[in-house]
Amino acid sequence: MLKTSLILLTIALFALLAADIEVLTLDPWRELGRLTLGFFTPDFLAVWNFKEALLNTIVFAFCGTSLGILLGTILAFKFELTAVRLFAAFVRSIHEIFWVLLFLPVFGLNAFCGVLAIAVPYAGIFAKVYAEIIQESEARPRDLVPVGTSGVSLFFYAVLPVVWNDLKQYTAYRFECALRSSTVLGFIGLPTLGFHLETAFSEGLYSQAGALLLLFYLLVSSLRWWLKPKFVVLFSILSWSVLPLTTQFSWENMIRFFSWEIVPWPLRRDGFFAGTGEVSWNLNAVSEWFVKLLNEEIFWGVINTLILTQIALVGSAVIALVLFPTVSQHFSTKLLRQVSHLQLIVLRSTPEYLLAYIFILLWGPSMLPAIIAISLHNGAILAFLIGRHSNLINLCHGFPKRRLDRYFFEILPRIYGSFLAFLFYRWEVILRESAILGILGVATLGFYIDSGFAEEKLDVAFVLLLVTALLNLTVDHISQRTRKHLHLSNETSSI
Amino acid sequence: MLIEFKNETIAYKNKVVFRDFSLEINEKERVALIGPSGAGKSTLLRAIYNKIAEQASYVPQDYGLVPQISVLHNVYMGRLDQHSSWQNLRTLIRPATEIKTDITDLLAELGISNMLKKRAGELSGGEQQRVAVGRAIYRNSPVMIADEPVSAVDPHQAHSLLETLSSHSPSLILSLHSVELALSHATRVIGLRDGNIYFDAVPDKISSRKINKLFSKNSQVNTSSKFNIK
Repeated sequence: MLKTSLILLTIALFALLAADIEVLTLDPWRELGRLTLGFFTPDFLAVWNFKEALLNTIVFAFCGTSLGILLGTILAFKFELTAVRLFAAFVRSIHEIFWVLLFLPVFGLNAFCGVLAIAVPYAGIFAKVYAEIIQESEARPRDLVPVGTSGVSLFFYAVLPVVWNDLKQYTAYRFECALRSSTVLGFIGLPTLGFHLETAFSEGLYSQAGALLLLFYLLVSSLRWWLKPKFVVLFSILSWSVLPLTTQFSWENMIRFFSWEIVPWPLRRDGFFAGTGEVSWNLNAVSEWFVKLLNEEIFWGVINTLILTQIALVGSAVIALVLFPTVSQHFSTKLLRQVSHLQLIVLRSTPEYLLAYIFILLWGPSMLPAIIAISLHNGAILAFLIGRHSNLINLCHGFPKRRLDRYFFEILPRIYGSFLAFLFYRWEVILRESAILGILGVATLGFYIDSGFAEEKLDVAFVLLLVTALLNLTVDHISQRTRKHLHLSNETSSI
Repeated sequence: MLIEFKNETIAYKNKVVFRDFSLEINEKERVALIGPSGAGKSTLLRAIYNKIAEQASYVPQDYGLVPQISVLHNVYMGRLDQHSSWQNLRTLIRPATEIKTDITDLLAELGISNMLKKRAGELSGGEQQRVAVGRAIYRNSPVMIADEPVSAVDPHQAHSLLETLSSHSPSLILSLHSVELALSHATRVIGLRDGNIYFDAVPDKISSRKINKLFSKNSQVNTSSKFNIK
């Protein structure tokens, strides 16, 4: 485990040498001052104007998650099929924002596009986690059911009651994630809280931004009081009934998207100029086009994404290892723990995208803001998890009195295994985030994808999206192999 | 004949427990397996159940109840194969009066009459064991296979629970911790040790010397029995 950690650290240090980390703005401190002032003087009067955005944020999250649960459940039943597993892995490897960009040409920028962008990747996540929960659940009742019992009866008597609690908890956690996703989708134009956050930040209305953020925290932290299982179905039906379903969907758009818009340009060129709209099979031109794309965009996009990922991975680890003692009973008083807990919850609830957006506003679009945003968010999640884990440890009498000794000799060795397991689970998530932050101007894959969509080069964007998904699947695979190799526990999958 | 093993190998979790194993059990027999822990009683019972799963009920040592659903539903699970999926779903939501009466009567017989609507997970170990026995009886099959079905109830109750169990099934195959219970309830007692049949006889023919030897810690018995395969 030490070896693995050192390898990760070395890679991150080399990546740091290659990374573009600089402050590009002239006076970052003044802006930070204004921002802080804004947050402490939130403009609650403005909040009333955002009631519709607040409602949309919730409605999108509910519709997206409920559709995701439905599709994910169907997939979970067939999860033993390799095709289903690959499909689920593929759809969840693409970030919600990318899905919006992808659905945009087919459905238009509207509510349905937003809901689908949440539902599709969530279906992949639900399929995987639900299947894992069922697989790891108590199997004895299943074995005992009389021979000849139908699959339906078996499921409702001997499987569902056993896994119900785990499914419920994980699904509730996903609702929280969906509220974040839904908020972030506003940054690219959907009418959720993110839309107004973007406006407020870009126009320097920091008091308004502060009020919006507080509103968001209130929404996320109040979930546990109003998101009861018995209401979920009701809320979902209500959400679907108020969702403005005015899509511009047409089969022609769909067919055009697949048979024309994402076809590599060299194949379309002749038909385009001749006005016939026909595809001509010029394979030489396509390979030239692809090599050029590879050299100019894919290569740099992948390199930068990996650089950011590896630095942020170690960054998250460092932040987690530094912060977790503040929520651990072995190091901190109750008061400090409560304060730190709140701080971690705020960091955890703030979407990385939003954090990165704020830091880029302060320091300009280098890798620095992206690294700090991802590390803070994921570090907070990890700190919370291992802090909780460390509280389960009972130290015997005669443990070291000095905290530093206690940290290095008693606690760290005991939690390091699960810490690494959690960290490796976040790897894939961090990669997804690294790619998406390109949209904000950091030169990762998202940057090139976003430019592709902006310049209406859907063919380029499509290839880059596939590359992103492939990179994600690779990292997921390496992470799984490493966990297996290090014999790290499998119980941490549902985070 | 009900069950026949002929020079078979029986394994548990990829480890061979019985090698070159032969055994015959006829209908209407009441067979009790006894022997020290690790002798292979559970493995053998499981193997017997796998052979005749269609016509047998099974009470595993760890009950295998679904803790999250009611006692009524756990007992009803014994007959899941005898109703359509639709009826089963209906029962899960709202059991028919007939089913309720049947199961209530059965629970009364088992001495847990007021537990119908309690969740299985809320019950004590002894009560859970009765529910597992109830589920097997409710299945209403010709053969009852039970792995230490009275281990969690007190000696007096054990007798009556075994009575109930026998009264519902013509053929009975069970493992028992208590030799006394085995001798008084079975028509045939099989002594198992280290994957071998140490004796197999009617209760009257089993001397206390044989039983002491079966349970003795002396490793000599162990080896001699290994080489004395009939």
